[in-house]
Amino acid sequence: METILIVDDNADNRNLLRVILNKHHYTLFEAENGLEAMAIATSKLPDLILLDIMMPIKDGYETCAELKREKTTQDIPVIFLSARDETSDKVKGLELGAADYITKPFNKAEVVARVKTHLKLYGLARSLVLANENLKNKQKKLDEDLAAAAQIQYSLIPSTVPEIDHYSFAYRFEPSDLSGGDIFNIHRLDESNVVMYIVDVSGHGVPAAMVTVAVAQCLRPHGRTIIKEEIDTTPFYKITTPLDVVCKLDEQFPIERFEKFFTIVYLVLNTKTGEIRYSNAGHPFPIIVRKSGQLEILETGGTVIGLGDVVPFEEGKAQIHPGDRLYLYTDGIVEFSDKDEEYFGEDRLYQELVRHRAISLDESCDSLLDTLRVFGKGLKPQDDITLVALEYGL
Amino acid sequence: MSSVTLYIESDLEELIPGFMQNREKDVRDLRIALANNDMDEVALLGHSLKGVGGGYGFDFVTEMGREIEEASKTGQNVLVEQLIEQLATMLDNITIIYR
Repeated sequence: METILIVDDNADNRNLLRVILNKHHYTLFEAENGLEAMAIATSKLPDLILLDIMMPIKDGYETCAELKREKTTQDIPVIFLSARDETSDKVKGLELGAADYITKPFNKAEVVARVKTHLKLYGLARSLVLANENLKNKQKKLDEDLAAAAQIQYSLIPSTVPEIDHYSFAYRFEPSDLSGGDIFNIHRLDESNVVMYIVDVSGHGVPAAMVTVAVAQCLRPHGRTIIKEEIDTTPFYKITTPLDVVCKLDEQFPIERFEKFFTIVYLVLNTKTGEIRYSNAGHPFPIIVRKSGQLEILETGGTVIGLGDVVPFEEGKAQIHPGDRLYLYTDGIVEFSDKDEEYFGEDRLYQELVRHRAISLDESCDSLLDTLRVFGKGLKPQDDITLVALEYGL
Repeated sequence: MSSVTLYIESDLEELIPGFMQNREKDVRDLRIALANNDMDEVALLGHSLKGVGGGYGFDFVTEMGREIEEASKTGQNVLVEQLIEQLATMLDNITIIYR
């Protein structure tokens, strides 16, 4: 039920408007002057105000100005209804923020038509404000969910690196937005073996984060995991080969399951012998930087996880010796493009890693990221940047 | 003078007695204001008549109000007096038909 406040010091004007507007089923309030008008407007918050100008105590112009200053009443449409019919009077009224100006003596039909129009406009404006509020709240909730997903993801990332004689490890992780699609880990499997892996799930945001969590669960160090199997004979466990790990992931994560695919490089290092066994599903090739400065790219690989064994996976072997370094990374590094859309690329990456052979492993990681930043010339990375490294010390 | 016939909407019938009383008061107030040479008050009363008449179907009240306001603002006191008396006479000689 829409409410209208009628303000006029002349009782005959008020009576006439009351008779006209009652026929259209509005709830009406009346005021004789600006003071009464303000009191009623602020307490009843009518949907429209019909305002005379010439009134004692506080005239219509003053009243309109005050209505527009008050936060609670400033959006209520005001229609001036006045015998002051000069153009300058109308301009003044409209400049004070009135929605309309009708001159007296007024035509009944005109008053009703304009009242209806402005009530409708006001209703629409309020709906818009409400819809906007709703939208903002939904967005806020989305942002909160995104932040929560990021928190979960961060909790999956290692906070420490393993401490193993003769080996040092390092990693860098820079997600591109609140919730990244990359996950990685380095940890001992047993006394002699260490596993290193990076997973890169397609897409970003909450859907990608959910898949990375699911994958991380499969690959967790203890409990129900695919990276170690129980067996009946001593030592009662068997380390799952990289090939088998990748095959099992492919079984468990067909693309139809989450409409996501992911790449993974999964590597098991025997710390006693320096032997590496690895499997790669669509991921950038790991890099060995020899003590001599020579590079070996570990190129054995298959396609991404999720396509259902369309192309068979393979397992590769490599050997590291004291003085060698190994780097795993995600395509956020090589596919980082600068303002001119030029990619950083493998060549630059290889050059950087060889160049930094002389500085410490940790410093080499920082150096690489600095070089990336300089290359980007201030542009933000388009994708997560993950770097996992080890050095077989002398 | 002969009476003026006004055709007025039946919705307004119950307001008319009050309206007539107020107009008669306006005439009394106009005479007093003029006697006091309070031309601002005369203009205000004329302005008010201008605004209220037409809505009720009393177009002549609007007309007279406009002329009184004009005349008082231009210092034509004699004309104002004539207009007031003309208004009074007209108010006394109307026939209303509701429809």
